[in-house]
Amino acid sequence: MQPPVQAAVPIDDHARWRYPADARLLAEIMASDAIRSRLGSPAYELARQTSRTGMLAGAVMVDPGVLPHLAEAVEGIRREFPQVQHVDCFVYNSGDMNAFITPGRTGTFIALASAAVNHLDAAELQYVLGHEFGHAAFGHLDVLAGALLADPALPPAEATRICAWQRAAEISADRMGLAVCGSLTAAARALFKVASGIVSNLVVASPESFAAQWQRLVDEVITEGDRGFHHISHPFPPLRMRAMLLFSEAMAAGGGERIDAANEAIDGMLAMMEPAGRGGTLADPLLRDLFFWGGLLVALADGYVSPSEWQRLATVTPPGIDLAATAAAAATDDAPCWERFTAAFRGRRKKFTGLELHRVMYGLHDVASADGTVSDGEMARLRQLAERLGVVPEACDHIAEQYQRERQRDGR
Amino acid sequence: MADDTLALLRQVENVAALAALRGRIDEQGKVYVMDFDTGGYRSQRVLVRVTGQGPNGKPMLTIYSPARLVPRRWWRWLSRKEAIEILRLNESMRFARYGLADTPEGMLVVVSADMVLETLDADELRIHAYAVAHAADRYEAQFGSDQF
Repeated sequence: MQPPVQAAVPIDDHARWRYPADARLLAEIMASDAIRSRLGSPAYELARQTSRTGMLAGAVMVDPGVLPHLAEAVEGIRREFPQVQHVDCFVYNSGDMNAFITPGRTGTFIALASAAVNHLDAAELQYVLGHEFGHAAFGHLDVLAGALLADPALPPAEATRICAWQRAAEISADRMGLAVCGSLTAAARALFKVASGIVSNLVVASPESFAAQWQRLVDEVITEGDRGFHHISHPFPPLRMRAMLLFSEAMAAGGGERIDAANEAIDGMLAMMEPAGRGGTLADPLLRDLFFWGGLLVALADGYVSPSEWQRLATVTPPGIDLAATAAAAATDDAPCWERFTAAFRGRRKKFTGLELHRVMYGLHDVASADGTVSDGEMARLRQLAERLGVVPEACDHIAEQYQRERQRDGR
Repeated sequence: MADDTLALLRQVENVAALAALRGRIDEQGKVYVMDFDTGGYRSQRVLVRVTGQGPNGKPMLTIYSPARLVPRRWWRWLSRKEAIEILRLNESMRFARYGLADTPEGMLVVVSADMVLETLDADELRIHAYAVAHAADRYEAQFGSDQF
């Protein structure tokens, strides 16, 4: 097995390949009383058995006498994951290019759809198998998410947390797939084929162009104001590709802080699939343009952008915008900022909810308060911005009070 | 209070701030509390609680205001005529409804309305809050009290 190009972390150091949010969210899930009580329930155990027996009933086992090339590949990968006990691989008849892994009574079952075996080349298959082994190596099989999510009495916040963990777990598993196949190009091809169902040998799917679809997707999600993604178990395919690309580049650059930066960027990308209101004050990616253009207008109400305001604005600067140049231009003429702020508000197809508008105003207060005080000029600017959003001016005073109260409460 | 409920009440607080409505979270009672001046030196308390899930598991809120407490020992005091009067009022009421709630102290006549938190906007909250407050206060005023 070949390591990815210039890997800065040994392939068997699985913990360091893991996406940190995956481990954090899994720990949170296992600490939740609502989830722990369900993990021990008869219904959960039954669901586990059903998943296992369902596969045994309709699949054929891969062994060297039946599918020697596949059995050899599975065995080769298994050796890289000594913590994964006794693995049996099965192939089931399906046109969907899919694979999954599930715990058995005494070991682990990997199931591959026949379409995946028929249409993926050796490196692509290694990526898919490495991905599934990654799930086992990272302890993802300790929680049968589907069975928990099928429980209608599961509190919605827990369901949201489980789905967020599933998405983070996919990022970790993708990294192991990448580690095992050793080629970003093969990983990109496999991901593209699995996501699109296109199996032609003409598929190019260069990692860079596949990952570049992410920004177009972001723009579409923002314009649409779509927040219906938090119950989806897998991240958007271009997000997964971009996450692998960022990680691969960080590895090639020596790992360390570069991996931390890549993980942070991936946190931001996954935030796009979170329900509204998760994360920090300025963390909502769907409101980024309103935070930036409104924040710049608030900061410039006093004629200049203070260093602490600058810091806040830097976290929400849209791609392709040079903060220094934009702030300098806006200091002499702020009309373009108003235009961009209004366009970000009016350009959205879905009506803004009360919670979103509150988040915008609260975020703009956060920029105004960055230097410790909110001047009269900044307050007047906040009211103007509120008016542009159809928010009553009195709400500005309420939100200002609320911001100060919460800042004191949280010791900010 | 469960973290989830508190988090949802904080979201209610946020929409209330956007609607320029003052209030506070009562962590013990698991409600968001607002007080309204209903005119003529009268006031009315309006509460918001998380009441479950609507379609797609989205959190539902009930905004309500107590209008009259009929102590248990006086149950017969809520006459058939009064019960019919409540139904009649419901028919002509907009944005809210009258109902009866069992409490340890007795039967509570409440005015309430339901909303989906996720799509709640400031105007919707303001309209429902005022509708509930004024309807409850009107009903209470018939009995010459301003307890709530």
